[in-house]
Amino acid sequence: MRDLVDLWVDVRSASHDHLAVRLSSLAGALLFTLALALAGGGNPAAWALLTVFGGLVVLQPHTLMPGLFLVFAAASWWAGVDGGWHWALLPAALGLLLVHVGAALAASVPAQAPLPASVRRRWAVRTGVVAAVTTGVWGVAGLLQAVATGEGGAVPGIVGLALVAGCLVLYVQRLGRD
Amino acid sequence: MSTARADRWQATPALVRSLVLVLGAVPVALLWRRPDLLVLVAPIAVVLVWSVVTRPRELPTRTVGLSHAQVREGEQALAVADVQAVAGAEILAAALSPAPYVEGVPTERTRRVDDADGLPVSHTSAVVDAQGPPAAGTWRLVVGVRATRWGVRRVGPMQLAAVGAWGSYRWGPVSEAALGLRTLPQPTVFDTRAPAPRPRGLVGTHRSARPGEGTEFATLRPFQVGDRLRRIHWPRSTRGDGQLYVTASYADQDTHVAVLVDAHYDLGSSGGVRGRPSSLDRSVRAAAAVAEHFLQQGDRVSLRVLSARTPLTVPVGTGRRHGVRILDTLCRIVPAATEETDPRRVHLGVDEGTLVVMVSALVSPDALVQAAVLARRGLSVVVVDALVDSQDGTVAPSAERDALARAAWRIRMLERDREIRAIQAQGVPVVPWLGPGSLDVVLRRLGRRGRAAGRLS
Repeated sequence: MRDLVDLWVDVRSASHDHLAVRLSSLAGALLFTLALALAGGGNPAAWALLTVFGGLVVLQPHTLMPGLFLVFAAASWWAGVDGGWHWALLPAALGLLLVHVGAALAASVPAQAPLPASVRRRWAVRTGVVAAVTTGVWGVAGLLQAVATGEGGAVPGIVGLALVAGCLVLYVQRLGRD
Repeated sequence: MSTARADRWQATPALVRSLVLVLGAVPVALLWRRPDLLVLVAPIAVVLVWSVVTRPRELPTRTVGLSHAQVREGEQALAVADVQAVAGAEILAAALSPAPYVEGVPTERTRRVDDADGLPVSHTSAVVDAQGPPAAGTWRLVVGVRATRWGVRRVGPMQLAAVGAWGSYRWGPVSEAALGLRTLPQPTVFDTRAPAPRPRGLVGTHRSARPGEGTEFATLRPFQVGDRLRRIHWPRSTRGDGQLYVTASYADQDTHVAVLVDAHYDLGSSGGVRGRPSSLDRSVRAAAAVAEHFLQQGDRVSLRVLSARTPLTVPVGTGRRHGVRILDTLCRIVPAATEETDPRRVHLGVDEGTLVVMVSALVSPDALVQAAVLARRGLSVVVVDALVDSQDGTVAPSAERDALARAAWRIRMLERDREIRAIQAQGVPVVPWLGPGSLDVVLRRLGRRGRAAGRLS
């Protein structure tokens, strides 16, 4: 109980910039929930839970809460939305991006300290760049969906898994070097 | 978190969650043929790759200091941390741990927020953008603090941290040792028009009982050999019997003011420079005011602190620097009771003609005995009662919740009244500290007594 009070005190005493960053996480959570609903996924209980999780991300961005939200959100989409491309994928992905970036920035600095304008600007620009890349991926995915014939069997999956495994090996090697 | 563990770059929960999400969603998407999941986690994957590629490796060196070695109560100082610029670090942050009587100076408008313990949240943190070329290879973090009570105030420890791109890697928080900020007491407003009794020195602003070179008019008297021509009073000389008259004056002299501060007890809780003072707050500020006043007049002032913990002394001296030395000594007072002091063995460095101003809460028998012994030696002793509140002129009632403790306090106050009457009966005036003019009546009375004694002898 005391921890919750401390978190609430942290929010109440936070600087205006910090509050804005935390609220961007909440905006991302609401955007994802709306996109999920528009894509026909989930149910009122899942939407309510996502909104509550979004509020908890605002309250404790430096804990496991943002991770819990992201995993729950991805699982909700997987379980609730039929496979394939959907236009609501884009706002959903951007919503996840906002939740992650907002929580990461909020957890990086003391809540009571004002954020320099240059930091806010740089994070906004970078988020825009990633959003643009995401839009490109979303567009390519839609294009592929339109031209895909369904042939190829398990080959794309195997290639993809091999790619992920390769990236993971590279990452572990890099960690070992450091 | 241990310092050794904190003093390296580590993955943050942000990196871990993006890794978990990507590694969880991508195989599921590939195995279950769900390309929509790939699109969903695409921005997180981009952030993950970006973070890993730009991971910082160098550890920054840092130094921490204060902008001022000493300040007055209520004044501000800056806690400054210089952190070496390293590749990959994008944001630097510093935060000071809360400390008694040290508050942060917010850089934007804030409202008071109390924590779970009812204490106000202090805005003692700062963030700087560590991108771009730094000045002299280091980034400077500045946190404004205000010391709200005299004493050696603890500033810090300061926690320093840095994060890389997307907040995925963090260095710190590394705790730097706390710093001591000497906070000089803010002297309360004090002024006295009464002269110091029985001045002894050769120069000063007090009127001597003896005629001599000075500015205070004494009388007109016939001219004598050796008188200066500029002292001839021409109106009287031309009007009278053909004799020359000169203006005689009293000599200007200084005095030795020995300030004794009773620091055996600190009664009441201190609210800082803007709050309700404790008894030791009143003692220290009154002593500072008395010392500054007499030093400004050109008198010689010495200081002695009566306490078991800090037997501090400042020898007699004069001038502005001596005043700072006295304030510096006052700010190092730590209350500690001692009841076994033999006043005859304590050498206070006071001689005949010294004005002794003892500032005391008059709770410790030691201080009362000292005052009585000094008065018996024929010195001019004034005791300033620091337990009386200067606003309402009364002693604050006990704040204890225990009825027994409140009763004990009332009994002690009755005893204290009796002790004060006893010491007054021995000729030691006891006055409450009420700001300007507190000592006027007493000093005049002591001056008259001194002159009468001089005539009798």
